[in-house]
Amino acid sequence: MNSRLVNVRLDAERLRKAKLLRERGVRLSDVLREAIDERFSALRRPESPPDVRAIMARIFDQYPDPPNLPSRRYDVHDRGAAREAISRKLRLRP
Amino acid sequence: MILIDTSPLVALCDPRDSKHRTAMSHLESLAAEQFAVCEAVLTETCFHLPHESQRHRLRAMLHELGMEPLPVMNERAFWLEVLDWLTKYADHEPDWADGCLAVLAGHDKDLKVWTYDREFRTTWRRPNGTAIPMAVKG
Repeated sequence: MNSRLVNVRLDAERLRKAKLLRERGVRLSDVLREAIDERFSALRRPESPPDVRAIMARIFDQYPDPPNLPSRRYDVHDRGAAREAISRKLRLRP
Repeated sequence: MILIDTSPLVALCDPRDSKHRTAMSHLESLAAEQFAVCEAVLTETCFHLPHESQRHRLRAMLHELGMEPLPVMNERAFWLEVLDWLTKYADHEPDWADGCLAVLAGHDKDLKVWTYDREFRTTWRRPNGTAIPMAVKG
């Protein structure tokens, strides 16, 4: 995977800590990567999980299928059948 | 982060799908997680959901469940990695979306793939050879 260099300014106290960590064999780049991952996860994590059943119920109420909607004629969960359906659709394109 | 494959995404959007109830139950159990989706999966999903009502629901779901797009950078390097992965597993005839999911799982150790495809459990691995973490049991 490609990566990009990021420079981080540190005050004297953090420089001291960084020096100690390095002396103990800790890679500062790993520390930064882990801190970014952790803060990002915390940022994205809601305090309480959303009520997904209510969200989905609202979506289905808002966008119902019309009564005459034809059924799918293949099983999406059958890899071969799904692939064949896509190929068939592509072949039918003018 | 949970990376969604085509099969659960279609199942969620289509109440007549054979796995709709299973997918709804899995969605509830994963509700606290951040969801993500890649473009290849969206392309496949739109093939299987051709009707207006289905695509309205897909759009609403992407928006209301706050699904993040992946990958977010380095597209060309990502394509090359996926092509390398597809070559490695050529005997098993994987699709582009399969490769995207496997490679993305290799980019982020905290990422789990939500799929109903057996091959992700039995055959395919991340580019470094380790098992692809699964979000739900098969």
